[in-house]
Amino acid sequence: MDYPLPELSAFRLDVIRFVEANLPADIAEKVRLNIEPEKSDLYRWEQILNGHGWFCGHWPVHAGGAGWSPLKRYVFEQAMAEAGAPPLQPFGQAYVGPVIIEYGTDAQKQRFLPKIIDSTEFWCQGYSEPSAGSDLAGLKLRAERKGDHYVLNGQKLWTSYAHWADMIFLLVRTSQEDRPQKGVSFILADMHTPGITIRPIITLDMKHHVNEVFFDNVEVPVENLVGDEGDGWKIAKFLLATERLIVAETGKARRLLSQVRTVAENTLEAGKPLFEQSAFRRAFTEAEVQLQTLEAFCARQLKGVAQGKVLGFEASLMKIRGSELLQSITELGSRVAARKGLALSPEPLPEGSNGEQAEPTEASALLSEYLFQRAATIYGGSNEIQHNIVSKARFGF
Amino acid sequence: MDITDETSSDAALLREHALRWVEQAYDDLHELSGRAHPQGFDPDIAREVAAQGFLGVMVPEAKGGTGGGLAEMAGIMEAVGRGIVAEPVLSVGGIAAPLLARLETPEADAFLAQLVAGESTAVLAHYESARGFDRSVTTGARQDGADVRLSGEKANTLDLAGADTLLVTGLDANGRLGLYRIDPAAEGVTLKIYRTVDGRTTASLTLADASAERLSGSDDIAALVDETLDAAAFLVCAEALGAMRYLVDVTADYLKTRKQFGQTLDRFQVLQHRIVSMLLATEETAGVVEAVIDAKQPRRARAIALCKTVTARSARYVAQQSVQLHGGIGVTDELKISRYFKRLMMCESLFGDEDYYTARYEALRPPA
Ligand SMILES: Cc1cc2nc3c(=O)[nH]c(=O)nc-3n(C[C@H](O)[C@H](O)[C@H](O)COP(=O)(O)OP(=O)(O)OC[C@H]3O[C@@H](n4cnc5c(N)ncnc54)[C@H](O)[C@@H]3O)c2cc1C
Repeated sequence: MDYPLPELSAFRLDVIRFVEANLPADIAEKVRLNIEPEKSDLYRWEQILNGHGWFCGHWPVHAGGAGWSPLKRYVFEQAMAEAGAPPLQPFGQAYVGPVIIEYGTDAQKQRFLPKIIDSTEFWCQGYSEPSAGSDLAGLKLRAERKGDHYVLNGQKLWTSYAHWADMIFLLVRTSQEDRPQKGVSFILADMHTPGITIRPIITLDMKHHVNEVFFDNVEVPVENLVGDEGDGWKIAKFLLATERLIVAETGKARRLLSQVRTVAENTLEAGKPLFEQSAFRRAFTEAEVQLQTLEAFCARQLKGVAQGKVLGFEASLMKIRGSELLQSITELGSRVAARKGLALSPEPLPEGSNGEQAEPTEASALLSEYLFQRAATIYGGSNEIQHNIVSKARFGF
Repeated sequence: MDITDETSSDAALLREHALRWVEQAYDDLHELSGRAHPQGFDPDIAREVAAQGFLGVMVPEAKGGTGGGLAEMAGIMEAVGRGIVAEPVLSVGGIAAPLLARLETPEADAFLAQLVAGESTAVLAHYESARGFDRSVTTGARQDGADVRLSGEKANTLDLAGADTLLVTGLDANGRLGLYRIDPAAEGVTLKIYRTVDGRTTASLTLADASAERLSGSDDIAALVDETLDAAAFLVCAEALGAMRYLVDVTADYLKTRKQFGQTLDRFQVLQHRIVSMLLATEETAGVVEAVIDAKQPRRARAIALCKTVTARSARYVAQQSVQLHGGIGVTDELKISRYFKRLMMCESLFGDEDYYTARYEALRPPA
């Protein structure tokens, strides 16, 4: 498949070769079979990247990064995913890191940034609450100032990887104001603080990605406030803008599409590979067209950014198509898995049964990914909300 | 449809009975209990289901059933979908029992009664790993003195892991398709078991000269098997209809109660339109399901191909949008929506997906 950014194609190939040479085989196998990596697997891989100067490459040099442009970062992340590396968890390096670099005090920078770069502290993101989903301004978690602490009471919901996290960055309500966006603050809390309780939520792929997190009189030192009280909404918008540069996972789409091809070539329909069947091939080709279109679209947007353009509603367009694409590619994968009875996972053999232990397969890996990707049009601003954003920002509706 | 027609009113009564039973007796604990069992359903609950008479609906009265047909069974399957019943109603009541009844051999009749009563289960293993949704087989039956031995590879089959008896199709030396009974514990029989996406189980079957008993007579039963698989595909559509109707109802209720931006979600026009599209897909499915019941042979096979094409598409759409409209809560295992989503994935592709039935619909086009 052609790549739309010739000037960065050498770098892209470097990244792919690096992954091939350095990604530990056990981690590569987990990615291939869509088995949830352990936290220690991610740390291991991040430390390998860091040893090569490639972890947090998009951070400015003064903060310990390599000062990559958004375009170079995009190429790096997509090439990594394409080559089968596990996705970098964004919460530290992509989300809170840049916030601390932009708004943090020197003490906060010294305290938090090194432990993100060397992968010794894991972060999670505490924005959503039961009443604050699409409408984030509906958040209620209270932070009351008491001496040199804030005391937190309330609940976060859908907190990804809270069960791995050492730290959480939170949007909290520090005062009641006329507009709900006011009175929101951005604060960092240690997940090991007394009063924090985590309850796992199992998603439809039967995995544990997300949690409910309860705060019961949790004391957070005031020096963990980022910016001033009431700056939360502004900081959240800044974070959103950086997050936007990585919303379209075209590299992962490439890997999954090639996996679809592999399983379709190895699955027979009426004695011939399914990949040769015209209806299937047509759908596959259509997905490839969508992928290349999105790559071209993203490349064009990011080239604009390199020339000083600020991404606005275009990022929402990228998010809409990016999520739809991962859904349609994995849906194609599920069509292959359907020929294997939609087997999701091997069942441990019952005692004394006349059976043979079944193995996990790439078809079930794609099936499980299809299930999880249903969330892609919901999290990070649902696709309906993205449409609302664009119609407002672009047309003033 | 003629409402004075006796069979159709019987069908309506049965459907109501089954829906009421699901509503009143088949709770979440029933639905989820299969997860703890290696066969994907709880055998005690399977007997409870059998006691409702669901398994003998398509078996003639003379053979211990209630002598209904596709219309009657479709009502039962709609209820199965409404409650996402995990027990093998389709595998036994919609496939194995009627197939055995139609063989008209003493060997087949001999254990039909046990199946109908839910005392034992038998599951048809027909599709083959190398054939996908294609219905032709290569499994071979070899005469060994008085015995018959089967060799071949059967594809992952729903409920096979929990079957007391495997009903296996194979070709004899003359290329005639026959039906054979195999004991899952017999030598040369290997089952590989997987959890299906919706928490039931599927198993592939490898036969290496496995000892078998012939159940069909000396005639080729290819046409009968073809009709059986068409019926199965159709019954899965009725099941999907039940699940889709549930999702439309529950999603509409959710939009009326969930608040964001200071209003309930049902105030947002894009969501109003979306649920109408879900309803439309569901009602179209109801239409094509009924059209199959109305269609007489030889037009029925093509009506079924149309029905499965439309149902597969609609099931996917309704399932996906139900999750989408629920937001985060829709992707949790805890909320039933996700479990309906997964059941509808099964319905979409069991016995052939949209591609397969579109091609079949085309192939069955009558000459101009
Ligand atoms: C897998 C997963 C991981 C997540 N990880 C995190 C995390 O780490 N941290 C975190 O803070 N949050 C996280 N989230 C939460 C996520 O951001 C929210 O789920 C999302 O914002 C949607 O909110 P909701 O689930 O409450 O849905 P709702 O807001 O209730 O939306 C329900 C439906 O209504 C639609 N809708 C709502 N408002 C409108 C409108 N105005 N116009 C049209 N349609 C509308 C939505 O599009 C959706 O279809 C995660 C969610 C998921 C599913």
